[in-house]
Amino acid sequence: MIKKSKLSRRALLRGGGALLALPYLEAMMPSSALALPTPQVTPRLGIFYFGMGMNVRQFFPSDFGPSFTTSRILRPLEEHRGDFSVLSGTYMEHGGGHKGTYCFTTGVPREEKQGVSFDQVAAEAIGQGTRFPSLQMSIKRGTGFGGTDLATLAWNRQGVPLPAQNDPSVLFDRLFRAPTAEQKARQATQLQQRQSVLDLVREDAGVLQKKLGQADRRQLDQYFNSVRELEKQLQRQVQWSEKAKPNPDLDGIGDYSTPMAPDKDGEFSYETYSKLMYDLIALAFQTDSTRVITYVVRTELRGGSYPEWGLSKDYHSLTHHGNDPQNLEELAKADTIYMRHWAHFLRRLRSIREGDGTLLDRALLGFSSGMGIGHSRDLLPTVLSGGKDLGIRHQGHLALPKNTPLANLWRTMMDRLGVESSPPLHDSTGIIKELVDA
Amino acid sequence: MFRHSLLLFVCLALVGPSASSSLAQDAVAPPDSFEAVIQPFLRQHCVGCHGAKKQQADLRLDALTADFDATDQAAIWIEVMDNLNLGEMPPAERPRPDAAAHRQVVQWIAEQLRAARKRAVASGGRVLMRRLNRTEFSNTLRDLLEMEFLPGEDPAELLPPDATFDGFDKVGSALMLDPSLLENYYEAARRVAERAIVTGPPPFKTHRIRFQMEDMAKPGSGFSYVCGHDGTECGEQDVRLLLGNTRTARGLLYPGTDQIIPVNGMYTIRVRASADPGDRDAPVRMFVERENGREGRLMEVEVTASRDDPQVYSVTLPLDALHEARGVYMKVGIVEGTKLHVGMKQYNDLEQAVKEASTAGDHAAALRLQARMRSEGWVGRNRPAEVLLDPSSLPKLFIDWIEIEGPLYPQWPPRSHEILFGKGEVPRKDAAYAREIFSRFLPRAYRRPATKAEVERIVGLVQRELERGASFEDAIRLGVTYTLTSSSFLYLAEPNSAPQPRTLNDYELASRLSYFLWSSMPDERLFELAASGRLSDAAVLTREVGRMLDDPKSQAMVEGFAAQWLRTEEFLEFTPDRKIYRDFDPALREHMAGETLAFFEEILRRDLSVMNFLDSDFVTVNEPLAKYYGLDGVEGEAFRRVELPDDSPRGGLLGQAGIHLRGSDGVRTKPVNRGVYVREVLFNDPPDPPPPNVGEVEPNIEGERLTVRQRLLQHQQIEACASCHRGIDAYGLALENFDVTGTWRTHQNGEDFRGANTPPIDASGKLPNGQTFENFEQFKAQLLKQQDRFRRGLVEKLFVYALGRPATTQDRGTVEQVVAEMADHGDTLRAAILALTSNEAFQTK
Repeated sequence: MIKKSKLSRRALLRGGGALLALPYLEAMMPSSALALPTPQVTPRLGIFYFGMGMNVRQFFPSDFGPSFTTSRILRPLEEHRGDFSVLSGTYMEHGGGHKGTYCFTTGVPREEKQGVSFDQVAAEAIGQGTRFPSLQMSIKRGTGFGGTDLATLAWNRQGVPLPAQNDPSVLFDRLFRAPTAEQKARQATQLQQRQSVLDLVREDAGVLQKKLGQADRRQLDQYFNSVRELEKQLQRQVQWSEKAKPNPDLDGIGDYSTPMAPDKDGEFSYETYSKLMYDLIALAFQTDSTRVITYVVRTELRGGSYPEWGLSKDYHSLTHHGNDPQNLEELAKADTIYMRHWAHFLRRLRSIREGDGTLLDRALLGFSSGMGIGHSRDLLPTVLSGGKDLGIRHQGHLALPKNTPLANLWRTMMDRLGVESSPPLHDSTGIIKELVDA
Repeated sequence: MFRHSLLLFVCLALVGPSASSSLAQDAVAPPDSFEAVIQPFLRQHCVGCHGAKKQQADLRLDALTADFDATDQAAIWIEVMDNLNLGEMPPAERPRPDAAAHRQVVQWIAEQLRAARKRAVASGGRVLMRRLNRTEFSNTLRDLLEMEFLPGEDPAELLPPDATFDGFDKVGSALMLDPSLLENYYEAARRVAERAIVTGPPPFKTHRIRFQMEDMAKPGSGFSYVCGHDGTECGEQDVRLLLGNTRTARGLLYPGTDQIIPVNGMYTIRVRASADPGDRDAPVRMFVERENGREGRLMEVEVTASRDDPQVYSVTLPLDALHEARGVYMKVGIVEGTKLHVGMKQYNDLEQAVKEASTAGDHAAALRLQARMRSEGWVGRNRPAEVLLDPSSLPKLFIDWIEIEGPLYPQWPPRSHEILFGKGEVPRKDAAYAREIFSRFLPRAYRRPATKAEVERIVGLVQRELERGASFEDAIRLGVTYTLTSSSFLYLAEPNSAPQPRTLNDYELASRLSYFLWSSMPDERLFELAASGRLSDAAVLTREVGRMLDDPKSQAMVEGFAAQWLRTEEFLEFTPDRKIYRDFDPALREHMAGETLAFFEEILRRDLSVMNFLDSDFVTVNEPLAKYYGLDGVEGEAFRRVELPDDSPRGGLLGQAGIHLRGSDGVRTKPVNRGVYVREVLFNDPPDPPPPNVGEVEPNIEGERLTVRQRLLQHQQIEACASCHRGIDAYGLALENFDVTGTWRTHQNGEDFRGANTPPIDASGKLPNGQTFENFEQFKAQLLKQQDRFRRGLVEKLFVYALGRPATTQDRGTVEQVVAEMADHGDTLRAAILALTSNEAFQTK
């Protein structure tokens, strides 16, 4: 059948210029914006990216509603029924064909100058009181900007990608490792030295700036902005260095003392690694070290499968499945493993009590991909988990109208966080009403 | 109605939307074609539903302008192009546009989009100020402070990989800076300053410590029990191994520590050993490993010394301290020793007999058999007592001693310290001396003379640190950290606030040259020539470019330019299906990437014609690849030039296995992807991007066994697809003789083809210029007829790499000039580089 990709309002809404030029319709505004039910609850946000899509033929259940029949890939999530919703019909205008990581959180296609990602907008609103306003995690270190296998989902106000960390031990140290007295003294000196250096480099760059033409000035603006941001961070660090780092209970949680990442030497087991990463998010949320996390679980193009799984090809090769049953079978096998880890993550969050709820009820966790199957930009494997105390009403398997912008889910989540986004998020046409408490 | 999944834009999406365009391929229609061609087309086919009266889907095309720099307009054009390409518009019930007009419109839009994107990146035809990329940052520190970075200590490892444009990591608009990156730069600078300056003697003096291997038999060694087991015999002078390895326990600990390697550094390991190959033809090989070491084998050598004349075998290498790992010891062992303990027939027979007796309930017999096993030495599960064996025919390794020397320092204090403080004692530890230090250091760090204010800014910083009670060394360290974090160091700045371009000064020229050819800062000689104002002299410049290319630092051109141009990283993206290509060793992929880089290096170093990229009578291979290609007489893993027999298809880039591995998905070849590679890499002429949601070459339907070529041609019948594919597919189908693993084939293999069903490969085709070819050889001959097109593509790639921006139509003169000069001078890379560096575009800002 022909897939109609009609010229739509959505098409016109791409690009910042167009966005501002078009009249904004009040009618499209969600009715429930800023109407958080329980303002005392501390909200958390997690955005997760599974590159290269999934075998959606075995991902989406065949029927709908809260008591849907589970699918092969979703079976590991059975124990969490009622705590998540599978969304059929999501779509990204600029996704598909390994381009989807770029527009995932910004709505801006890979070819264009990027804008701020919505997790950063959320971090500005809800993350300022924590030690880390946001955390970027990924299977791949850095940003990977320019390449297809982008490593991060977070972009600052300048549209500059924020690099992600892929080693749980590094993240753990950053979050929880208490400095020794010696380290503390050294840190105090270093903070003071850094302040001196930042003062001076700004002064020095100011001299250069006066001699530059316009285009070069814009380049140097990034430098100035970075210096400013670092100074802010410095102040934050000075403030936070007075406070002790949290010392979470690590009972039943893996070992964060050794470096472990796919690009590092030493033993690597994805099973162990994946749990360390997910558990770390739970720990970070639990200790309120951060409230906003992005995590590229799988990048586009590279990696995605591990020798211990015994697949005949790497994940990317499998996505070129060519309808070969063996490829589809192996894809489903890999996807199921990822969902088993996701189930572990939800279980961990649910085991942590907070107030009269659980951490899972206070976290909005959305995952999807930049493509569906066969490099398509529709049929995205999209799931929203958690957030019951934030006014989410789960629907089991929910059928959205065909080609519903993925940004509608993001907008729903932002709405539940109580973060107003103006102009409206990307190409979103509204919130997903079914997911929201009436 | 046709099925979209059958559209055969195979994996174009993988290559990504084309970014640059070739200057060779002008816009398909003249600039005024918007009014003459495009608007009439829109009026005829689109405006009826998307016009002033009706705006279906909220879209009006009658007011659309040709301003592709406006994102809103460009977005609509993309939508128009996609829908035309997909054949969804005009809708089925409306008249079809004429195929030629359809093609013209689609190509025009694609061309305009490309040009607009290039304009956006090209910064108005001016070189954009940019930061150093991570390679340049690391290389510059190496040269500025003459520091060697051990693995794991390279400051570049603190930096995330750089952004790229068209695959190159030198493009100004892509090299952005964000707070965390600046923080990384700061941290890297701080660590470099920390290491560059030392106080007092080295924290760990160079030590030499030896372990007599036979000492392992001593009761206190903790593992004397190994003697006599597992083929290990502890003699008076040495230890003999038949298999496995032996170890040093605590015998090699650095004095005063519980570590063999007390600190990251360079170490020499020596082993005095001898061997007896027994009845085996091959020499005995010995390895040295570190327990818990993550680095793999530290040494693996052939031991040819006989037992009456043992020799010392040694290696010098960087080693990390493994403080977290306890029980670190060295292992010395024999490679492929004699298996003594598994699958020995007598043992298996006895085991079996015991089992049978037990099963039969005859426990007495079972006990008897077990007693017999013990008495015959079949003890410890399945290990025979060695006394029962005659080892005279088995290969043996004798280890006398092992020694470690280190950490090694080329000098102390290190060069970096001398560069900053000068040789000998520091005369005064005060602000005045700090002024001397930074008056020397800043001009080199900033790659230009430093102003008095710039020096005083650091002196002030140092002064304040001293007043706060910091040591002189620490204060200077902070000054160095500041220098390496400042914009004058991090950015390649050529200030020009005037609207008119200006000629670079000699210092700026020196940096352009050094970052182009060395990916690092200028050396002393370039600075001297810049200071005396002679570098811009044409003859001097020519001589200097020649000198720089001959300098080993120009290896940066191979690792930077060649790797990015030829995309050797992508050779590693797919692994051939292990079930279909059982014999393929994945380790070969690294060698394949190595071959392509070595080939470039050969052409660069020996001033060969770049036409060798199209076809050559030699390859550059190492032993594993030579074997793969069926070439004899190549030993070792180093790449070298090997002449090809006349009938070999391996000449030129397109004969190299890695290119074809890259252009396959592990199961099938991807001719479209290969064709795009040929057009983008060899001709810098990327085809138009595919419509969205296009699929792949479909797998064979049950019962059908079409080749990839047949399936591709079948679907070229679809007019909407054909227009683009005609310009791509022939370039890829010509390469069908190379299978998924880059192996030459004359018949189909892989996928569903085996046994009697292996149709012969058809690699014939017709190029877009109308020339036809019957096979791969003729195809290469046709490519060789397009020398100017190839030269132009190559020069455009060099242009991006050298200037950090793509060549636009305004640069056409520059490109043509460089092409002409290269052609006049033997088509060498040297000639192209000389022509480019002496061009106005290279020398102005």
